[in-house]
Amino acid sequence: MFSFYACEQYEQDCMEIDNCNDHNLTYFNLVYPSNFPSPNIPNDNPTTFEGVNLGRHLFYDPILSSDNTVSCASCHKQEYAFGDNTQYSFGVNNSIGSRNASTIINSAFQLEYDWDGKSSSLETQAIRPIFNEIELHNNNWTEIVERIELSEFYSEMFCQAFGSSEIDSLKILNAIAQFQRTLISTNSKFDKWLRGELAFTDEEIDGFNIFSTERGDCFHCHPIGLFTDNLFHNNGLDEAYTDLGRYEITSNPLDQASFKSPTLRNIEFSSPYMHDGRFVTLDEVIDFYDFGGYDSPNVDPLMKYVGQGLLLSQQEKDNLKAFLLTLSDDEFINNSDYSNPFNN
Amino acid sequence: MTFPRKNYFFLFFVILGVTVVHNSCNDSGCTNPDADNFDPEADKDDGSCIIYGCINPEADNFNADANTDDGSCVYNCINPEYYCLDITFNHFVDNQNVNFGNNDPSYFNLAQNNYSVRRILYVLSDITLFFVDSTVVLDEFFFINSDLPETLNKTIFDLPGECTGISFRYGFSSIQNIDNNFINEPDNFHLSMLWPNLNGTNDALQGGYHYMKLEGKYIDQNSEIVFYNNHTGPTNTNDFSFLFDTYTFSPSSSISINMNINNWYNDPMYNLNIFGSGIMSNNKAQTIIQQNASDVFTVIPN
Repeated sequence: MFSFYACEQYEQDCMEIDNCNDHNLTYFNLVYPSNFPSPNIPNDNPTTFEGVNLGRHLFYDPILSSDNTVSCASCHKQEYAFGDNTQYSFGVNNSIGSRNASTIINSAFQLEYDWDGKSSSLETQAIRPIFNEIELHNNNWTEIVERIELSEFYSEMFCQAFGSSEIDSLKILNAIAQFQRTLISTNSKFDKWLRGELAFTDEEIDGFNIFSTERGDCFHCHPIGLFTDNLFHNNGLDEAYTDLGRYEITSNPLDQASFKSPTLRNIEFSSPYMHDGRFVTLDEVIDFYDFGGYDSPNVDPLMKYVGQGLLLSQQEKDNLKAFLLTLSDDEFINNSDYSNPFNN
Repeated sequence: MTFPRKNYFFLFFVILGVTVVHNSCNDSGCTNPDADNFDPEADKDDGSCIIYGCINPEADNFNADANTDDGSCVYNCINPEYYCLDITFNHFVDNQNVNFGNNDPSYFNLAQNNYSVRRILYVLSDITLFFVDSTVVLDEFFFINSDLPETLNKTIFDLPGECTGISFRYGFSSIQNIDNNFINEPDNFHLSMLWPNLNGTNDALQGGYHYMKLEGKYIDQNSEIVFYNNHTGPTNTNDFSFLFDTYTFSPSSSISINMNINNWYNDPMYNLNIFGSGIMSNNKAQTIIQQNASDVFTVIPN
């Protein structure tokens, strides 16, 4: 009783300390190359080993879905560059989505998330799938928090990550965001070539030139470094639009059927391609851009060969593909730090 | 005074309890939840709290709680102690305001190209402001992007008086235009304007940034409506930027910098049909556009 009285004026702090022994945060230093911009890390959610560990477990745990069947990792699989290998992904009750699950590689360096940029921070991005009825299909945070509290598995991890075993939505979202920020891919053959650690073949060099000049003109939307410009473009997939993309967020007519440029890092693993997963192979993608795309009022001017085509030779297409395959980062795809912790 | 033996035990545990609790709760640190370095485990404030904000009481956004200036102060431009310069960027084709949302190639240039303008992005750097008794060299550059309305107006704060002139460079000089030099600039500048570096495999493109991305449609010689991308930059390491003479005007705190897009094409004449859709590796096209720069801008006080 005396102890309780002594702590009364600092009740909250003391309760946290009582609940959470050894709450020592270890800050996580995100490592990235000089051609990446600084990561976007909010001041109120620094990346820590403890937060990342909690976020990794939550990312892989179906406890976040209403019927304990679907997790973030159900649609964002490490072996597929944290995308999905099916055109559309399945949610709770086998509900099926309408857009291909986008890869979440190098999310720390992006400004807007999802194909249409609905979310402007990693901390809020997870809200959409958590409550989307065709994804994790929850009704409210209370039921999610209750499930996690009942598991008794997470109490200590919340303590370690946030100094309190009390579970709330903010901590859940912050932890998942912390884990996602660590998903950094920077050690592909291309990166090693840039660093002078190995040589490209003649085919890869030619493919790089096609990619990075107006011959192929891939680089404007996929600039070297992140291989995404973090912007939204209508790339001429259709003459008539069935999905209005970015327009649904901005209501700007110029944004109709515009979608965020995805990173091309690990594109070898992230099939199928485009926002609707219409292309299964890289060859199909290259053939589409070689064709030039379909004209419509909102096609981005960067698709400047609409109606004309790139007219690449088969050798040029092969070389472009050879270059794209240099963006594969096997170390990232197999990194055990990113894998399902429940399998360890 | 004596205590029974069991009371000594009681006293021992009470003191132990006080000591344990005291130790676990008596951490010094910043106890202000609004501070950037708020320590939730601290129960005694040690004066270390850091609250960023504008600490100049003369500023419009003075933050009385802040104790560390973060460079965010915004000054009332009518306060004579803190002159400002508002700059508005306008874009015309001759006397018409550019309609960026119109795909119809309704503009004409000297080469009789019919064209539209979907968007324009460009850089003005090496900016110097002139005043009656002094000059101010800005350490920032202007990035103008017609897709981002917030970039079409700039305000320069904390100036010594009303402005009487301005000089600037279109694009970046070769000294500044190097890879990743502006990687963390706002408005997605780096990723929007990056000029590829082909790592020694192609001399035309050796990194840095675009000066300008002017994009739209035109009617080609086959009467087809096709896209053009007039993207300018340091092709073959040539410095195709252009440093303008000083524009002088009557003392003002508000000016407009107006671009006449047709003047990129007029003298010498630039024909979209000759140079086609993409010109990044084309020295001749880059040269003609640079030669056209001198009369592209006008600056007027508002």
